[in-house]
Amino acid sequence: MDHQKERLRSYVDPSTNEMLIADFDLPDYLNWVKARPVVGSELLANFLHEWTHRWCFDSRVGAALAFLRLRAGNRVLSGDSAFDDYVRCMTAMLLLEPITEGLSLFAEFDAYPGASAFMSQTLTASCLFFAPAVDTDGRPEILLQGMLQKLRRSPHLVERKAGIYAKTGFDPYAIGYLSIKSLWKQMAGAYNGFVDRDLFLSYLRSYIYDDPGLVLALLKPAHSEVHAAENISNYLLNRVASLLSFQDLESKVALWIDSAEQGKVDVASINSNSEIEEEANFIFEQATVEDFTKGANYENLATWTYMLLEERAQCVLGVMEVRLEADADHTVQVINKDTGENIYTTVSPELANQREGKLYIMAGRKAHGLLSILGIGQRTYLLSSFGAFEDRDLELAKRHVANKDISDGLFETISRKLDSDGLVNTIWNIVSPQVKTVQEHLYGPLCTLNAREADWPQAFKQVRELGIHGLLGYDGELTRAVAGIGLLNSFTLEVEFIKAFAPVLDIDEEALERALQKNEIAGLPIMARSQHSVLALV
Amino acid sequence: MNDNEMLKIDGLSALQLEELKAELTGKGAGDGIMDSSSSALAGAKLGEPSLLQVVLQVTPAVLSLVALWLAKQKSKRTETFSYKKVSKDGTSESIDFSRSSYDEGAASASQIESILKSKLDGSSKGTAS
Repeated sequence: MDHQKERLRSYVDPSTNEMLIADFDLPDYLNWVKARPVVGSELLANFLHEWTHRWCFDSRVGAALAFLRLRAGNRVLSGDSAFDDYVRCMTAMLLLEPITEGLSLFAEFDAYPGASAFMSQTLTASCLFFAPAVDTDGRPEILLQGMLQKLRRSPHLVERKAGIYAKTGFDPYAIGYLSIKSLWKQMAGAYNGFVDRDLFLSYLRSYIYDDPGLVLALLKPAHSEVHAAENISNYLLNRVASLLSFQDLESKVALWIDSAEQGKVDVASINSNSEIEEEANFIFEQATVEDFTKGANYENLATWTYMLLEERAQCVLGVMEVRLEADADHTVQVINKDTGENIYTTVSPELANQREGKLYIMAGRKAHGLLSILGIGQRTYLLSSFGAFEDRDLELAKRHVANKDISDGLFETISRKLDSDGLVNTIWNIVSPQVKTVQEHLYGPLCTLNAREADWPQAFKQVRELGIHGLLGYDGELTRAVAGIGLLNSFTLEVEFIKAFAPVLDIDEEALERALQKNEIAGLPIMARSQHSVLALV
Repeated sequence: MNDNEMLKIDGLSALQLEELKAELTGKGAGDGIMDSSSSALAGAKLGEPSLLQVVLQVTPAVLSLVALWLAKQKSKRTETFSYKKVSKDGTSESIDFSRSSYDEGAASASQIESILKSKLDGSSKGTAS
């Protein structure tokens, strides 16, 4: 039977933060970006999803997780014990996976510029990389609104979201999205500023991934790997409980915005403090240099890990094989090897003797610019840049390109060794069932936050067994209608507007009418309805 | 049409797969579903929700139920699907059965069934009359 996959699946690797966007065609993109005409981007849903993953992992928690996995790989490669690092990393990854997927789906289905002047990195990047060149008199949010409204009216996105509703069991996408959506409703109820979904997305991402306390739980010594897994699990259970207290939420969010705009989140705004932050920074720094003293082989791997941790902030959007053609006055044409199309023309005596290389299109750490870097072996040449870059960003981007082939090969080797290591897998197979139990304790109440206290256990059981599609009586058109209302809610709550948009979304009008009346099923609230407005709660 | 052949449909959402399975099992043709799967991401990668694939044993009953299911889909929902004829020896051949093969908005299940059958018989040489 032919199981060859038809289409690559978009992903982000949390260790390297490497991103692949399915269907991203670099030559097409480079042609588009020259003039930025007004066209819809089919890529936008995937981009919103994957960039949100990248943004989450480009954080102190993301760096600590990457470090643990890389060090575990290094230790396996050196014939040393790796299971402590592996169990710590995998425990946190497993527990965080629904939040991570939920945040990315929330970015796809719900995030929208709101009243706050703060804009998430995901929306900033979407605007910079995909917005058409239209003068909006200094108001980029208008471009974003147009792009996002078009996306949320797309039948493809309805299908994608309704597909999440059809998932059953403890599915990280379905449970994660329900958890984030429920949290948004509750937190917007506690603090009106979170009606701005993009601000909520930004704060919640920071609450989880900028948290120095979680870094401490990940890296602090423990009696055994089982104790370490327990510490991480208990920490995350308490951390989410602390979020749900909503204590001083308004003042904390104000502090968070002020500090985030300055470039460094004040951890007091995310229920932590400077002592914990200092301790976490210290223990992380110590951990990253620990293996430098273990001999020559370890030193090389530790150096590579250290460099990769720095470089993982850089994002390669696409790579293209190119050939170079130069004339007598050193005018060099950079030509797409596949299509023969000229991509760049530059004057460079240095490049005039070169014949081929790879062209990397890279996004800066904070999504404020695009770089075109030509890599020839380990030499790099900046061909063009757009937007704002710090010198350090540029230096790291060039280093990343120079090291990429060697680094990718080493990463693949350690990943393969790690994933096939018998001892590591045996121990993880013992620990992981306990972590999965914690997952249920964590996400059961979270994904049913909108249910009454007495109803949530039954609602969670039904969601797991049947999925939202099952709760809606396995009625596909009704499921799509509920999904569509939620997508439209990102920019309108008005029932009349939603009805008017239904044909554009390919939503059945009769099913839409029924969806609008679905207040609650099995104790799980589905729609909040008033006379002229409706809000999908799932 | 050859009973040794299978039809692989790729690019379904979880909901579309559920609906197709329900269509087949509800009419007693559940045995025609040979396999359904999603693409897994290697290592610790995280990514977009996967699109799914289903492999169906090609029988007259399965074909007409697939056609009925396709006829129920609204105009833009099937644009991500791709179709392959798969032989028992594992070889496969893409067949052009995109939405442009038929006027989906107006096509009846029997029209779709007839086109699908001709595509499977003649593979890529099949006509979309």
